[in-house]
Amino acid sequence: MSIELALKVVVAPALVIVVGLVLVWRVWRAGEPGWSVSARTEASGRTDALRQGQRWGGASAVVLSGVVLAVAYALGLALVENQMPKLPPHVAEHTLFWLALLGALAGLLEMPRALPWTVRLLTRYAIAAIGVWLITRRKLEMGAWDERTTAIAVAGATLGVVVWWSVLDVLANRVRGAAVPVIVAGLAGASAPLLIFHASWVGGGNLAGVLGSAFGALALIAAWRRDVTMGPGGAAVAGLVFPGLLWTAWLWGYFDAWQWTLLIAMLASVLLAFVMDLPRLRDMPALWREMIRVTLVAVPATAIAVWAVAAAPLDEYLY
Amino acid sequence: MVKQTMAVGVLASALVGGAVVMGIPSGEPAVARASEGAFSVDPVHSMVVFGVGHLGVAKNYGRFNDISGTFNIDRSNIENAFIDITVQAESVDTANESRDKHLRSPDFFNTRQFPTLTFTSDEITAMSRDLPPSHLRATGELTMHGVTKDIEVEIHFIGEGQTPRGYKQGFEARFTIKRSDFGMTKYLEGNGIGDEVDLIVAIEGDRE
Repeated sequence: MSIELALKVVVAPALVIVVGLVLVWRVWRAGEPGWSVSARTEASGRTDALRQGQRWGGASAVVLSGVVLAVAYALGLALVENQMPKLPPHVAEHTLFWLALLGALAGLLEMPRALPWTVRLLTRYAIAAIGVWLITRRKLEMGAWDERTTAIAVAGATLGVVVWWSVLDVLANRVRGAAVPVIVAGLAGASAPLLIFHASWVGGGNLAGVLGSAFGALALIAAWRRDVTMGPGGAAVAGLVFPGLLWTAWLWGYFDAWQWTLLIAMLASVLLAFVMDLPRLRDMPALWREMIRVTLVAVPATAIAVWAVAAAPLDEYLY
Repeated sequence: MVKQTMAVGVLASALVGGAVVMGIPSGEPAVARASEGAFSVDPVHSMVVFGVGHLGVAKNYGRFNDISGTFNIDRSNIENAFIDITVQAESVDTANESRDKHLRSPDFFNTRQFPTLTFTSDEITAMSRDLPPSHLRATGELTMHGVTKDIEVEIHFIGEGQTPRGYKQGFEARFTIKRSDFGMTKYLEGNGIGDEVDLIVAIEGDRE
């Protein structure tokens, strides 16, 4: 990776996160005007994150974490692609730019309102469907798929996105500190070798790297200040962008089915994080618990990533 | 409109070379014959070759193996001349399978989203004063990577006439495009892969 590319993929998104989050969590304090949301969100059951937020940054800072993450990802994508994505996107992968911003919007929509789960899920489904449609639509335009096939594919992929987003949201709301951002950063980073070496899509690997860098920087801050949280906005950004990237790779990259299966297995490995919430394990010291939680997810993801590098075509580096 | 630079000059093209080797009459004896109707691209004897800078120190070349379309460089009735060429992006061939897969990926030609490259002429005019003209200028639309741009290319008429393989016509165009104009922007940093792409389009066709 050239220095210029490293600046785009790693440094720029991380810098936005560090500067943005420090500003957000320092400037917005609980009870300040503009985001008087605590009372209403208490009713929504999102109490943990907000109580944490009130110690340093306040409820509004929790809301704005998603916005900062979205801006960091969108900036990283524009730098990697060397262009500002249009709407509708010219190429499917530029949809990820808009998905990140939609994630921030979803975080804003979900945070201040005491929404029932059904409405929350329907809202997520509607937002995810927009992104999945933007990624998929060219299949219909080209005549590669008919309307029925396209509709089924969009509906199915959207369901998958919503499931992953919701799992991540539950995890982010339950687990404090750096654990969840580390998990997201690790999964994104681990997917890069598969995208680069097996789909021959270096840009896709870079886009996964941007996600990893943004959430990695968030994890560093969260390790320093445990009251910093990704909030529902952060969960929405990762919940939309990561499966959106994989859907793009599946539709438009050169993946074999088994490589795709490995990536889905990587996504699914996030479920292992819930093992640490089993009754017998709850009494474990917090630090150990979170370390084991991260390790459980990291082991299969790392194994897949190591295999992806080892099994890369021998002449992959020659051009 | 994208202004194109172009190498002007008569080229010892593969078309003419091949004709000489095979004892097929070259273009000269047949040029006086008026063209009638369209010619369909002979994919075996047509070439689309591209060259692009690599790391700022060398040039790498490749070709597309699947070319189709129709044309007629009707020099005696030039307002009827036209070119309509389609190239299957998936057929990119640089003699390295891994690199070809990479070129097909969203990093470059993005062939699953944009399966074809096309050129459709709007107008063909004479450039040289000889009659019928051997140098022509074609203006038209080049679509690549899903982006359509107006371009201008110089056409060198190679020849036309009855051959042992039927009535044929051939031409060649050399021109340069900027891939970034077509939204292909990967690896521009550090001059990894150059922005300017030289193209040689050498077409042979059979009368339909």
